[in-house]
Amino acid sequence: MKSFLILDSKDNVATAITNLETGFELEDVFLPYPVTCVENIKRGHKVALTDINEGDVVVKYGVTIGRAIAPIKKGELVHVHNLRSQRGKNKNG
Amino acid sequence: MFTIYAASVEKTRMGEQMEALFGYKRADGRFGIRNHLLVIPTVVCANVVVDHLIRRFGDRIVGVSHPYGCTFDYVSNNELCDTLVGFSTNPNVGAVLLVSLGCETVDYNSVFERIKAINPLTAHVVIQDSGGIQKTVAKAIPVIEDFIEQMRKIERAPMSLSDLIVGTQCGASDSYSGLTANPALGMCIDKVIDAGGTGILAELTEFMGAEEEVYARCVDQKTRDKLAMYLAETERNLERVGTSDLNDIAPGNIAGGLTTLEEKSLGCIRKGGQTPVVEVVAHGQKPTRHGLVIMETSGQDIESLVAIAAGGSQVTFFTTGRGSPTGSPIMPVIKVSSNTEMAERLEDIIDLNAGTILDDEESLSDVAERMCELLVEVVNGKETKAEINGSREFAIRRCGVGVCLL
Repeated sequence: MKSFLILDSKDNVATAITNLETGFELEDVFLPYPVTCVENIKRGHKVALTDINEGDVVVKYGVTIGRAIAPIKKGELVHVHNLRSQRGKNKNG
Repeated sequence: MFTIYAASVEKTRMGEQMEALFGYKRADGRFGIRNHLLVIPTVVCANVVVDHLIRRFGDRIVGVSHPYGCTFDYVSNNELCDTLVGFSTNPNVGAVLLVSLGCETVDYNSVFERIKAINPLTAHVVIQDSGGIQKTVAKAIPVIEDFIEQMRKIERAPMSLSDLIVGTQCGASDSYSGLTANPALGMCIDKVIDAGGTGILAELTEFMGAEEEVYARCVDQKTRDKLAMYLAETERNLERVGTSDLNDIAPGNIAGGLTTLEEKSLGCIRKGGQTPVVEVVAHGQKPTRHGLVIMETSGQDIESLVAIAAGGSQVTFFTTGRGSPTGSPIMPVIKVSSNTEMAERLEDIIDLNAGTILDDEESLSDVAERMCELLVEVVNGKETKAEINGSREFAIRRCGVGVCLL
């Protein structure tokens, strides 16, 4: 069973398929370097594959899924605390 | 996109290996895959008559109750009329008894005439003209008994995939939905369309963030412009009602790992496969072309299922990650789980598990193949879990607020 998926070469997040413990190393053909989880990532949740600055776009499926509202370090969880939609009510701000 | 799955995509024509399909041929030439006797009110005040008739006839009729039918919202009234007509004339319905109060704002006579013009087995009772509840029930009983007799004579006849409109819906999604159940369903829909059938992709709130891919697949500028118009309207509604920082998705979606509407949308549209978008239709309207059709519906599952049924879809695939039990009064709904854990835990609501893709047991095309096989069985009469459980939810969006975000 896979432990995580990277859906597109442009993605800067991976999706955990199993619970990933702190210290778990992600290795994938899309990754030029291994990425180490710096916190526990629950199954179904996303982990950053690079450092992402506040205001930068987060990319999954090769497409923007929102912008970082806080700096995100490589290996950290990417979720509602640091990623915001740019659509609907968030479209203009 | 989806490099990871590219190797597993195999094209097999669905028609070549498929066993024969049988359905109920209706007066207008369409085929139903169920033969329901629908009893439906035009207004909330007439629900009581439906309740009495359900107690008398049990499973021999499908009775629907709803809270609509009297409002001074002109747009809502019109959309309700269209949806009642579309839903009641779905080819899975063999006969219709319409129940009215007599003073509602909805133009019930026109609803009745429009249904009857499509299905001759249509009758109408009006409480205020019939002398009260008991007299209306007494008037309805022989009508229903006669319909039951007449419907018994309708036998299943051979039909083809080109007679089929297959709806797609997702609800209670998690982050696996876009990785397993939705792309596998997309491949199944591609096969249905390849064999001459029609697929419906709906829920426009869940196109936000995935528009470019869908626009690129529209067959012409007119189709693209119509979709763009509906999407702009949907986004205006989202901007208007947004009050929290939940990124316009439900708490269950977030607990399942989805973070933003864009992310949910990109998974959601995978249900529509990869064929061109041949038509964009309004809420509850019937497709006029074969192929992938986009219908403007809200993202609320029940409202969307009712609209899809009103558009003439005989069967709908419904993918879920958290576990949604919902069904339709008249249309078999096939539940597909995005993950094995939920499929096993909620065994009595799931028809097919797509979680095997992540367990490395099956490829996307293996699951798509199983979906096609199950589709044929359901068309030919196999009951879905939602049918077995008696899940018969019914809701119609109210215009202007039809932006429920679940």
